[in-house]
Amino acid sequence: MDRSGSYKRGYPVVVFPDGNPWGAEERLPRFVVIKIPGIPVGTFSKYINEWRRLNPITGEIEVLQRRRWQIRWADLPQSARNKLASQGELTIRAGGYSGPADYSWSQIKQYFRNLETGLDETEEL
Amino acid sequence: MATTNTRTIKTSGGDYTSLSAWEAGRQGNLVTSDYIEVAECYSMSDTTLCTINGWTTDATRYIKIYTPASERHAGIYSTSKYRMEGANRRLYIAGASDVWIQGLQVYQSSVTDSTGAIEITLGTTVGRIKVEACILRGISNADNTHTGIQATSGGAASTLTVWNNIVYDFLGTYGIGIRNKPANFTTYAYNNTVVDCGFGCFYVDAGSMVPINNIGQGTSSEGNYFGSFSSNATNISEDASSPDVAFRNLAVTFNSEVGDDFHLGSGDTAAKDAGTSDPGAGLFSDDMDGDTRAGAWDIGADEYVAVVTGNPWYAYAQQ
Repeated sequence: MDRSGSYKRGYPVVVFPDGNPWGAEERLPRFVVIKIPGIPVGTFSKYINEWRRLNPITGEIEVLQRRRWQIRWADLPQSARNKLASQGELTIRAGGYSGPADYSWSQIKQYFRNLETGLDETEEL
Repeated sequence: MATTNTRTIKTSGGDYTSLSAWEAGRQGNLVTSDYIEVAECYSMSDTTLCTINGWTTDATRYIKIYTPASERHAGIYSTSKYRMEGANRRLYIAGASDVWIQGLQVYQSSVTDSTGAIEITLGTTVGRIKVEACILRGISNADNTHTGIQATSGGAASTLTVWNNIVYDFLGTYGIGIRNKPANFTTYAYNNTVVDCGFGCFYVDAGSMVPINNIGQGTSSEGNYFGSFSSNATNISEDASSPDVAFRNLAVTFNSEVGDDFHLGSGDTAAKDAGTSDPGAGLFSDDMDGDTRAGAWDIGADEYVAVVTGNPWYAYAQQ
């Protein structure tokens, strides 16, 4: 069965500005929120792009996977997984933000994998 | 009988804050679960692209995305109602065979993208897609192909049924209102009003379109109507392209075309009472903003309703 159109664990779904009032179902058990205060929506938008290609036979754009990027959920630090499972959110420090955080982007970016290249994220936000 | 699951899309206080998030949260095999999944959309600007993919549906277990009556537009694009706005495909149906879209506003505002406001790209999946009472708005001064509603691909005998929609301002060099692109699709277009599309209002690359009671207006380089049409009746074109000879070269009078109000004007003589009654064989009996159609139907998305002004006369019975 082709599940290329389905979301998989670790796919970022949407990106919203700081303070977004999440809906009743946009939380555990199905979803968690990763907060990166102060980073513009546009900077993070690449993580919700679909992995697409031009079909050489049909000439149409087709979706290979719902997302080009996936968070390697099973490889996250145990403390991160525990907090996500219990509280449903994680705060990441990046850019000029100096407030409370669970991790820095430098610590966590390695768990963001580009499915097309197979490489983990190395860029700063 | 399938169970209906309704979830709300609101800026706050609802189940989801975007249609895209709803799609991610509710996607699944509706046939095995015996569900109808409904997204009920409330006033907001939804700027997140929504791709519908990864679903299994059938004719009785399907997806419905709609605005309830209290949240529905009144036939004119409104920023106080639910709307999808931004660049690229706003609503992209790529992996669900049965989707019903009702009462949405979609504004495809890209000046560079070659995409549709609502686009159906199902590959080899047979589609049964319905789009009803939506307002689909494009943008001027774009050179690329962009469309209001486009069937791009689907399995054999796929259908797109569109009725009571207003589609306008897809003014790019290759701008199209309603498009049937692949041979596997047949588009049934009833009582739509399509205005100011640079390439064509009703455009058929391959396959077929069955148009009845539609309005095509404005200057389209390939004609308001282009391609292969069948079982057509009472379709108005402002140019000479209508498949219905008697309805060519007719200018429809709207309330305010410059104001994007495409309700029929009181002085219209082209569309009022000139249509085919019940073209969809019971599919619908109202217009784009819920007014009942009766008698001889008007052509286009709006059924003219006279506005009573001044003091009505009362009759008194003296005892």
